[in-house]
Amino acid sequence: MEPRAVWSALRMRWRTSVAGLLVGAVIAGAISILLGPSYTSTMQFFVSTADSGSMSDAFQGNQFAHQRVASYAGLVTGDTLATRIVDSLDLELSPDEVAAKIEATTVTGTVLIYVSVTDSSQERAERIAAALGEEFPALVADLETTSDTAGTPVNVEFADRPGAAIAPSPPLAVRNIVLGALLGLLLGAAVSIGRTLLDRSVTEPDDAEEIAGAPVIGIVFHDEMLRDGHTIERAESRTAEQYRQLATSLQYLDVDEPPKVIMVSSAVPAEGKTTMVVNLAIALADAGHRVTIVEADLRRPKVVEYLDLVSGAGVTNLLAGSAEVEDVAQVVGGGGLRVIAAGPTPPSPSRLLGSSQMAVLLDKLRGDNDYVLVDAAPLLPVADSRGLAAHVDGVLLSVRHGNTTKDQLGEAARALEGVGATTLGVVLNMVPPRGDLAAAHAYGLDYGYGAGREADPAPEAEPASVPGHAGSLEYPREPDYLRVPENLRRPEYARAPGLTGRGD
Amino acid sequence: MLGPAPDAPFTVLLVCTGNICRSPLAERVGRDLLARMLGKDAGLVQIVSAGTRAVVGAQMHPASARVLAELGGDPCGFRARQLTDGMAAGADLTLTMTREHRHHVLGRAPRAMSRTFTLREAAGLLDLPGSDVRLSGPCPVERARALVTTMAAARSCRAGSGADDVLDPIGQDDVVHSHVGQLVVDALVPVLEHLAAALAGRDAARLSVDAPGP
Repeated sequence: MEPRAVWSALRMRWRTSVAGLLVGAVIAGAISILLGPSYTSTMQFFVSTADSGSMSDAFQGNQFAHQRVASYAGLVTGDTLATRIVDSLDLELSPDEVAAKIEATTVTGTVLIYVSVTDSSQERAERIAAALGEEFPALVADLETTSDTAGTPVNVEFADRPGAAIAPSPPLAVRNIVLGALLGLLLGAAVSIGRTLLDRSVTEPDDAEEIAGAPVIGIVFHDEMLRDGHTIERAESRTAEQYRQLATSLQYLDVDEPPKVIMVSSAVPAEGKTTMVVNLAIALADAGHRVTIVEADLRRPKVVEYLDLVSGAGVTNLLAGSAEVEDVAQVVGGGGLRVIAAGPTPPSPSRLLGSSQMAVLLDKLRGDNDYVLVDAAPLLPVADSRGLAAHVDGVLLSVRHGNTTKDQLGEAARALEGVGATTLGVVLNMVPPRGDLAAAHAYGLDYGYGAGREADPAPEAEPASVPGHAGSLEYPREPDYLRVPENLRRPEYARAPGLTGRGD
Repeated sequence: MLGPAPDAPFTVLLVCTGNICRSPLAERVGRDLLARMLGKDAGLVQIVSAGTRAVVGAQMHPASARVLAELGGDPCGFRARQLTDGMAAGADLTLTMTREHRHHVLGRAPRAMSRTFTLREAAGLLDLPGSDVRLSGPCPVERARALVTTMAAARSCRAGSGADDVLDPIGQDDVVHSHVGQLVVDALVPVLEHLAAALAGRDAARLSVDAPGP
């Protein structure tokens, strides 16, 4: 993995690293709080042999002391000494607990023993340290005294008396939290990089082009407004501009035989397919084209819902011959946009959509429109769209950035190839505006297109409850006639065709 | 069954679920309103109602009957009817209580999309700027049909929403029934005013009668 890729992974998944940092710090802090404060009193013992006259004696005595130091360090933390301390102080602790508070270290080549006593109570740490200072030399004296020698051959004396118990500086908790945070950060970063390495989703236009065998003709950023409202409310927004660019790109796909009947599909559901159809159609209609959306995802029709239109009659009626296009086509806004809803759900959508009647219908629509956008079911879960793909001029594949996997996209492209359909291009949808890809494509987009403006959510109809029956049954207070995408129903469109007002 | 008969009276079809609460109330109130607005011309229009899952043969729900009586209507002699394909296809104007009913009606008569509205949707469409139109033509019924056509065209300027529905009062208490009755009347009055104006060839404003109230 290149350093640049690592950096990109960390930037893309920066939240993971930050979460790791915070979790690490919190855990370390919690542990520190649970353990409570600690106070440490230290002292130093010096081990020497009894005075003797000759140099050789002194040398041997020194050797002897060196050998003894290691054993004495063991004694300091042993049960015997702990028992003596407990007895002398009348502590309510077991010798084991006291022994756990004592730490002894020696440095090879010296006759010094460093001893520290750590306790959550400052006063008790000092008392134990003082008792240890008394009891340890006495214990050594007791052990080293043998019946055949007078006095002890070894002396244990203070090199440094037990000091006042002090809290460590910087406090232990701070040190723990810093360590915990660092550890968490490292772990989070490792997870980010790992997930990026394991990620099989499509995130790069180059990958998408290679796998789908068609160019990426549009990139649309993730937009909260689209997620909630599905249509762009403000014509000057960045997303609206991206759809305008996509609409423009369509015209240059094939200048010899410009595709007019275009199926829009995706590999799997929830790839932003219908949102793309609706907004692309609006962009095309705004550019002056006559556009008809055909809602051909018969199992989960969403176009009518997204545009707040009338459901119940549509494509399936046209195919069955129980209605004409003029009966069921719904005009949206004042431009050239019409929608043909799905109609009643048939028992076998796949056969219906692949029928020659469908080809006849699309041919008729081709004659009446500049563009016919067919919103089709996703390609992999059901076969509905494969038969349909054979009747259209070409297919646009919606790919959800970071969600559609390379395998899924490849399979979808092969499915289209299998029925002889042309994949016109790929639209990379829901691209995170913070990522590398966004940075590469955002050039100039933020400039002058309502940059910095806050989305102004349309007021939702507030259901008014029946007086005295709050919550029992909800009724809308006022119909919200104006909860309409702004660019669709601008004031100049407010007068419907055929409506001629009096007096003006 | 392909559409409304050319020389028959203009038919308004009101649709709810059981045809015992909302649509009968609207039918009776509407018949009364049109009789007052049109006088001797009242025969130009007929109002009928039906249910998508009607309690066939039943009288009006007692609570709705009471609300209707309070509004000055007469619930006597009503019998619930099931909606048929022929009724849906033959009506000049179908007003449903909810969008679900509209969906159901279109399932039976897909060609009727431009003549089928929810009641509150119809009122909302007539409330849009520019909808106060004067329709010309010699035939009253043709003028009324033209009004429906302009309403359908106005749909392109208006988004549907949950506010288009008048919800079912079945199983709720009297206060809810009264509230529902008022919602139905509030939406029905402007629609019938426009309709009567078209039939009579006059302005809607001059036809206004005092809307029934509780």
